[in-house]
Amino acid sequence: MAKKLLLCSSPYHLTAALWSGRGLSALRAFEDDDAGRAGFVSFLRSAGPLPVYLLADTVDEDYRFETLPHVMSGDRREMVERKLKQLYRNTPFYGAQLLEREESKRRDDRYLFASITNPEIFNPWLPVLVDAKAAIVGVFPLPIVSMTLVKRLGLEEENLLLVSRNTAGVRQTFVKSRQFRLSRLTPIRPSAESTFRDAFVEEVRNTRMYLDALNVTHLDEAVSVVLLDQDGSLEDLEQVVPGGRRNIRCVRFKPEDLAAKLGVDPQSLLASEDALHLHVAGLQTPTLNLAPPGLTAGYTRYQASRAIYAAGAVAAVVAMGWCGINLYRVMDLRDQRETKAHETQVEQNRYQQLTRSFPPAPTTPANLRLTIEVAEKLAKMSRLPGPSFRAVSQALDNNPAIQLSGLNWRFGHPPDAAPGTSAPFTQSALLQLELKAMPGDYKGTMVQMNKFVKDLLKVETVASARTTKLPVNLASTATLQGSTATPRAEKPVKAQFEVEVVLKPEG
Amino acid sequence: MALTTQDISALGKPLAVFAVIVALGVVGVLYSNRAVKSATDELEAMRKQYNEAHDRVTRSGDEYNTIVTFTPPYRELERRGLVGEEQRLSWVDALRTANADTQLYGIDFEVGPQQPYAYASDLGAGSLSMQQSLMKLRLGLLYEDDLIRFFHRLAAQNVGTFAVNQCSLQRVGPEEFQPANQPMLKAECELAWITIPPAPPPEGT
Repeated sequence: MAKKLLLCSSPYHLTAALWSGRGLSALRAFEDDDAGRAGFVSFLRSAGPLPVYLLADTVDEDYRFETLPHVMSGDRREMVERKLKQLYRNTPFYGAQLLEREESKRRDDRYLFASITNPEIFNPWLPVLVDAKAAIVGVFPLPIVSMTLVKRLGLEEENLLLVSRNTAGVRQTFVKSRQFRLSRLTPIRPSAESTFRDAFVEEVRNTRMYLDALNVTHLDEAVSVVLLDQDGSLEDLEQVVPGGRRNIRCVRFKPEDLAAKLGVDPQSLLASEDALHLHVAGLQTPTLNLAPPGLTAGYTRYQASRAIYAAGAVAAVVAMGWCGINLYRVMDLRDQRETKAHETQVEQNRYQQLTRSFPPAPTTPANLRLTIEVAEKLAKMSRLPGPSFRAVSQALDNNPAIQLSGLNWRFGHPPDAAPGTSAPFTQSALLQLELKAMPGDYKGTMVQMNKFVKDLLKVETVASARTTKLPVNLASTATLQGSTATPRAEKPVKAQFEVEVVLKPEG
Repeated sequence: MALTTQDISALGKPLAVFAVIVALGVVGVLYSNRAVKSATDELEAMRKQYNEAHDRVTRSGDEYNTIVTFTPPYRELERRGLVGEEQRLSWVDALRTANADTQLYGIDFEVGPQQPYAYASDLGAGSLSMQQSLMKLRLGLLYEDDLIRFFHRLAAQNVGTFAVNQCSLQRVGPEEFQPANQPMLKAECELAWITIPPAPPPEGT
């Protein structure tokens, strides 16, 4: 639990204590004078920046119950705020708490409205807190803190009057059906004829009658009076208070009982009459806060600051965790690398050892193998023009009228193969040929030429043969000229043409 | 209650601390991430080295067999001039010898500068940097078969490996008039003398 600064303000007096998470410490009391204010300033400075819980124990308080139509969220807030301003125009310290929904047909909401009607009781202390920019969590009326006591002490009586002796006087809080109904603070000043105990007993009995007068209880209804005896000063009063009245039952919680049930330090109870309520406020934040929003701005900043620090801490933890995991991984990876480096060295040594028994080699085994393979492929791939010569000779033998005047042989990728493709290597030859023919005997020339090409194609090694240049241009777009004079008077002329022959790829 | 500008200015210190923590955290995370990646890369590189070393050990038996099997033919290729530096003078001598042996009429030649072999990728040469020097030949022939005999004779010299890229033959003079002991054909050929520069010796030798 977080540390807190707990204050209980009553007229002319302030009790302060630090809440360490388990109990009270540094319990101090300050009177409303110069020394008290100076002491409080010093105390506040030494306490440091802690959230401040300010309890108010004063007769200038007001509690009332209001029934309002059941509305939701924003509308409810506005309606309650309007009602509070209507009720408490002269004080900024007011608040409301939704108690229950009524069982009636309208099922209206029942609220407890409360205020500190005289804000001057905080005058000596609040300016000091504001000057110190203290993070004020809220202003809580003491009877509301008493409600926490009821729960913590497990008091479930139908009509319960909780009586405690505080610095400001005797505080009596009446709880009906485990719900707050009213509270009275009576500063007791014993007269010459009576002691404090007599005055205390009389005040409790008066309250019992007051309850009847208010019609909160009936005369014959039993009220359980619980005396919170913090310092043992109320010893045996549980027997005195009933005074033979049947409608009063009384029990007393001794200091040790309170210490056992609430965990409060008995020394604290002895040190201050407000210690019990301060301890309970430390245990659990009261439900009804009367502080105006402007007063709690410091606490809002305090919360935001804590949230930012918490987010920073989370970010730091996440980053450190991330970095830690990464650091572990890096170390692990480096260990693996070292291990692998050692294994690599071992393998390399083994290889060196093995290669010492190898015969001397001109180059690496891979290069040896590759060189031999390439040389074999090169030998298989190389070609001479002999097969082309033989194919052409065969065709020429069958066509004695045709003469070969020239031949261009090449070996490689086909000229029309697309770049980058692995087209097989081929032998091809461009043949420059001529034959003797009568002028104008185009048909006879073409017949001989076509026969030559067909004879070429009959050769087993030839893949293709085609005429690439004709002795005469027969295209419809070209000019064709000649003479039809008497053939006997004419002499034969040379008709030149070209044929391209491609051989089949050899296995 | 919502925070005002005044509240936010009052939160300067925690916000500054938060910003510093986040900045340091981001730097730390980025730096450590980079360190992890670097260490991972180093480990991967070392694993690769190990695998290579291990494979070499595993393959050492094969390598032994390869050396035993392929060294003699490799030496033969060296002797025949395919592997090693160019032997241009030997080529010229071989041309002269082949011309004499085939009783041709003399050969004009021209050898160009060495260049990468054009068909190395067709042979799957891979890491071998095959080179070629193109030689143009001009020679006279009585018959076309003389050309084939000449190439066979040239190859038989074993002064290098060549591939004939192209040849062009033209008939010289009219067909009717054929003087004795004169070339009937004029041939122009392009040869590629191919060499494989000697590869680096294996490690440890």
